[in-house]
Amino acid sequence: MKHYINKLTGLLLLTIVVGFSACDENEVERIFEASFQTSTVGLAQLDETAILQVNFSIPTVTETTVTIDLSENGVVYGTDYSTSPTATDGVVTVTVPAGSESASFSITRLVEFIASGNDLTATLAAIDGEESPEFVGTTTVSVLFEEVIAQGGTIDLLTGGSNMPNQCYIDLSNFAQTAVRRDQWELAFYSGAENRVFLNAALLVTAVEISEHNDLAIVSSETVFDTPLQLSSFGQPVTVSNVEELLGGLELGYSMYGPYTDIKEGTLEGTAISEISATDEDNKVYIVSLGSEIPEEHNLEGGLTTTGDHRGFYKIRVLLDGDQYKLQYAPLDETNISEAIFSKNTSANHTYFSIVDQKEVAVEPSASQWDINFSGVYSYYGFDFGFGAGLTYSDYALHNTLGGTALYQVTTYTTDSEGVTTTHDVPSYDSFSLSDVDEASLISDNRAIIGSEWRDSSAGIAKDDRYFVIRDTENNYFKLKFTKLLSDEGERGHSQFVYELL
Amino acid sequence: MQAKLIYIFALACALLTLLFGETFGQEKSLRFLSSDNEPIVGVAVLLYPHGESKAIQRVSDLDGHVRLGSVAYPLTIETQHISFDPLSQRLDQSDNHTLYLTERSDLLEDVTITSATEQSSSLNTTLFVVDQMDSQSIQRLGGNDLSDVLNFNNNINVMPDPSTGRSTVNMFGLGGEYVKILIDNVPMVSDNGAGNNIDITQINLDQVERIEISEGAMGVLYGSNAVAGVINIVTKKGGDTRFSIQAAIQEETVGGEYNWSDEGRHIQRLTVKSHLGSKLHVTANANHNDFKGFKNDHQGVNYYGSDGVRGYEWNPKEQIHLGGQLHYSLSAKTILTYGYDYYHEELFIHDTILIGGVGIDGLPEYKAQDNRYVTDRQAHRLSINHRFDSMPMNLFFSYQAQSRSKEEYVYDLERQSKTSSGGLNLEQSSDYLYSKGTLKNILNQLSWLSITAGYEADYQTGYDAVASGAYSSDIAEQSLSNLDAFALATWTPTAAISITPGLRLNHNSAYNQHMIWSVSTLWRAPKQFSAQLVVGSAYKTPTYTQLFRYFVDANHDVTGNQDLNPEDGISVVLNLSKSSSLGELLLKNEIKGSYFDIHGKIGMAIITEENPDAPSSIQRSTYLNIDEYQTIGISTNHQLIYRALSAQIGASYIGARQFEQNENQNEDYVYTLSGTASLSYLLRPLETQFSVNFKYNGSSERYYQDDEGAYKVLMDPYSLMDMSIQKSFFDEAFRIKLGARNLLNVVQVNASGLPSASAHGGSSPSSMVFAYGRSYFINLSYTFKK
Repeated sequence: MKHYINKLTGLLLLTIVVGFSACDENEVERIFEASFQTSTVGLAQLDETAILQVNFSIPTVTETTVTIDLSENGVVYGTDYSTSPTATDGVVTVTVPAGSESASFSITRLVEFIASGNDLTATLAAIDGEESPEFVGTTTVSVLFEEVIAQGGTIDLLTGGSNMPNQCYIDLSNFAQTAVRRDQWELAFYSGAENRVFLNAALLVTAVEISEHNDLAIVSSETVFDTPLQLSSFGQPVTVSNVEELLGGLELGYSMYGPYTDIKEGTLEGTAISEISATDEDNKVYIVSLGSEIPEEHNLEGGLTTTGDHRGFYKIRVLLDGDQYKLQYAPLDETNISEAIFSKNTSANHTYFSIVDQKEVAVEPSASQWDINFSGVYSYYGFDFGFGAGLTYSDYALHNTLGGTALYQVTTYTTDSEGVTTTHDVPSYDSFSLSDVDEASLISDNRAIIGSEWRDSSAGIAKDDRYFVIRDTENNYFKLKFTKLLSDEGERGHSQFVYELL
Repeated sequence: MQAKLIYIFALACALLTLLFGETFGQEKSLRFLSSDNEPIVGVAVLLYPHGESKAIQRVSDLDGHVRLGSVAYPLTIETQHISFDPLSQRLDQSDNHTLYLTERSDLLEDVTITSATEQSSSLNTTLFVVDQMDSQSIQRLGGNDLSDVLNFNNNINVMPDPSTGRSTVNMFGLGGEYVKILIDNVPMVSDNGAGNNIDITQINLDQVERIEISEGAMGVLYGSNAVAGVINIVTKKGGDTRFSIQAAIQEETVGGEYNWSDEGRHIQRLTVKSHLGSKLHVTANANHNDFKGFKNDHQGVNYYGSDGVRGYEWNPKEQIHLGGQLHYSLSAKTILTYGYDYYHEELFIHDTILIGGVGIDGLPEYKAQDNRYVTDRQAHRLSINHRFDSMPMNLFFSYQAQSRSKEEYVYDLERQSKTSSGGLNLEQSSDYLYSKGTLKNILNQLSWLSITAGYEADYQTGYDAVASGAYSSDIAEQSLSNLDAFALATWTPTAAISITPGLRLNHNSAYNQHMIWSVSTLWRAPKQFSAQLVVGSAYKTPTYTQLFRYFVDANHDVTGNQDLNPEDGISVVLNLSKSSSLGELLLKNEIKGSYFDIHGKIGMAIITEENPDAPSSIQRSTYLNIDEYQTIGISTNHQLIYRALSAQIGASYIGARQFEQNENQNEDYVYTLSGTASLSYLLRPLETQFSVNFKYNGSSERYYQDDEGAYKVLMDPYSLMDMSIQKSFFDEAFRIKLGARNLLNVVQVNASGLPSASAHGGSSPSSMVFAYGRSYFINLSYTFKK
């Protein structure tokens, strides 16, 4: 019996010792992976340059050198093509500093004619600097000397964080993303046949017509209307008898007095500013609220900081000067009027203008070079609450309806308020193929089909109940789904989607 | 209807209490009293009846009684008690004997609650209505931390928060901020303050002699925040063996979940006690409590799905507790006790959903944003007990510090490792310096008047980077100091009556002067009937959130108010108690009535004045001292002891109401019924003890607070039941305990009025998680004594 007790005591003590010395699992394991961003690039013309980018899973912690081997098939370095940085004996080395998320080099086509079938292969050979790097995904890229339609890939949107400073234009067929600050412009002058002016919905720009006046100089914040305006706020009637009062309901917000935004769908008929008339007297004065500044601060707790201080009020009047637009503008209480004249931009949907900087600005790529505008912030006057109100959304995506992109949403399942899930009889994202495309469903008269409903902001995720089928400006078909809303650190404005050529 | 039944029940109990006094009292007994006529609990008595060689063992009850039953005289008795000198006496004839025991001179502080001369670590029963839970009861519940054992008290609810792992005490419907928690009479430090709003899962019970619960506002002796009551944890001190080691392991299932590696709860304990020389006694103990979490409908850390069931319902938490105590008898009159505690806790909060996304290789990534919270606490407590003639003096000095840090990290499910980390960042911390001194029995030449005077001084600094909320990175920092003087005068016009008025002058660095008062009246009527009336006041300081909250965005504007005043509380507690005995049957019946009024309770209010920095259409709110909160309650408690059987049953019926002070609104009281029952039986031949505890919580209204505001939540009734069997072997060296907690398998309690999960849609949850279902534990312990 004594023996038995001793054994039991021993066991007891052993358990205690084991229990107290529980091991520490808190070490961070650094996993450094590298992969080419795309598997194929095309250099169709002389002097065309393609960027080959090696992405890292996490930023480098030390200066890192990436070695890429080039293997030629009927092409010769220096004659048919060159690289930057230059290759030595068929090897390109790219050195990036600590903190880099990628390393890239460029290839330029040097001759007009290259025989069909001749190409070049770039292979990821070595990474020096980082401890135990792993090559994953795409480790070789085919460089073809012909037109190549991108097969698809992953787009990490460059929206720029929780203050969403940028809008991103994505060209699916070229696997290209262009990011521009959304506070660069307020007005966009349509390039097509109709004479229309759009407002920057990403910056909460609004405009109200002062129908009693077509002389910019005499309108100011002290202007009193001959006939008071009968407007509404929160669905309740409001009487406005002067500009001062009107300004209180012009800024975008729940309480705004009327539809002083372009319509959500983005059609030509729905602009806040009426079609510009060839008859000057018909073009009234508009007061424009320049929207909200992009705040500097980020919110790292999953919240947003997209709307900052108000950018002020201007008065504008748009006229036609032959085929050209003529914009007259001034701060609301200024009597000195500025004027700008510009012709229609034939390659892009719009000509963009900054009232604040008093100049034309380059914003969107040419009309055929983008399909999706991930606007980030998007605002419009809508009836989502049962009454008219100015609404501001984030993580909002539009498509290029004016340029010819069409798309529709495929919903794979829906969950009702009781939590009951119904699965729809549609192909899954993975199995969706070209033969599944329903041409009749493609929508080209409403740019806000993707919108922001693709994400669940309280859960901080991209919903997996939907994907989109897209016909781009060159009649290529793609499928697209959102995969991520927050960064790994939990910040908004770091969304991601994947797409595939059908 | 329910209310009517309760009144009938209460009335019946009252009658019983009075009647038992008349009918019982026939049986011969011994009664043990201390030199000042206080009954002594827990005296071990060996009875050697005439002509028998084998002794009968008895232990004195709450009133100091030991039933004799039918024994042959002359009878020899021997007593043993940790705090009193042993007594051996021969009793020649059958009669009721009252025996006086002398306090041990070398172990002055080892007093039980009822020996009122030295109360350095206890609550004073003359002044307060005190309920206690001894180490036996704690053992029977398999209690490892305070949250395991407090649920079986009538007016107390443990309020767990499964997502943060914290549990706080709710007393009379008042939250943890209104309850002061003390260890040996010294307030405990918390994450961002001291004394109140303590996470009771962080209080380890290994070295606890007993837990004293006192209800009512007790500002005179315990200062700010002792509004609803005080919970005092009395630690074991000294010891009678020269050297002992106790080692124990406790394995628990968590609901139905248990395995050796990543489910269940695993506890290891080690305690070493030793006398070093004749004057010094040393205790050291260590406790490791590894709670692996409760999954319930969740699927654990490495679950890939996107359906929101990754992680745990209750998140895993690991606690390590180290403690030490030195106990030094400087002289017969002076004793020093020094205690040290170190506590370390790691809480893992695993996100229920994955981040999503596709990696650079084009394949889906399975990562989640998890959080680790690390809490560290250290406490030094020094007490000096000295006796000037018959005037005992107690001095306490304490330094305590606690901090809570958070690490946000990304967990890769495929690799099952942490792939990036934001580092460990301090979120809350608190430093606390404390001293208190009392001198008792001043003017002791007057037999009818005894005066106690004392001081209390503390200085605390709190740091809280989360109180202001997610929309602000402001750090709430505050230092508070109190300098108080207090005096109590006990007037005893007759031996049976004592009246003690008390007064405290409080100077608080942030909230100016306060005068806190109390009057305690105790009437010890014949036939073991006593009546006690305690009227007292206390105030509660505003919380960090109420002071520093900042939640302003496009649609909200809620800000804290740094001009808040403390909330003033007044309580009235009346306790009627009657002990009776009939042969070996002992009964104790108690009825307690209580009334609380909290004036200037802090609530959220809309302010009309415009905020120049925010869009005008947004409603602004802040915190103001605008509410009045009142509770009224009656509770009964009945105890029965018959030989090895002891049973208890009780009920409480508490009404609470809250209304805005300046609105003359006739808000009705909303009543909550709760009941407790327990049964325990010691099967002596087998050295086996059985026990069952039961608690019924009636439907109740609670206040629930989140980022968006405060909500009134109506909870459905629920009941908790625990059961255990204990058996000792080999002269108590080995002990095995088997138990079941939450036998009625409560996990969620239905609730209405909870806010929806998100402000912009989503359905409201219809239940709150309260427990983790039926769980079993086994405890093995081995004690080596020399």
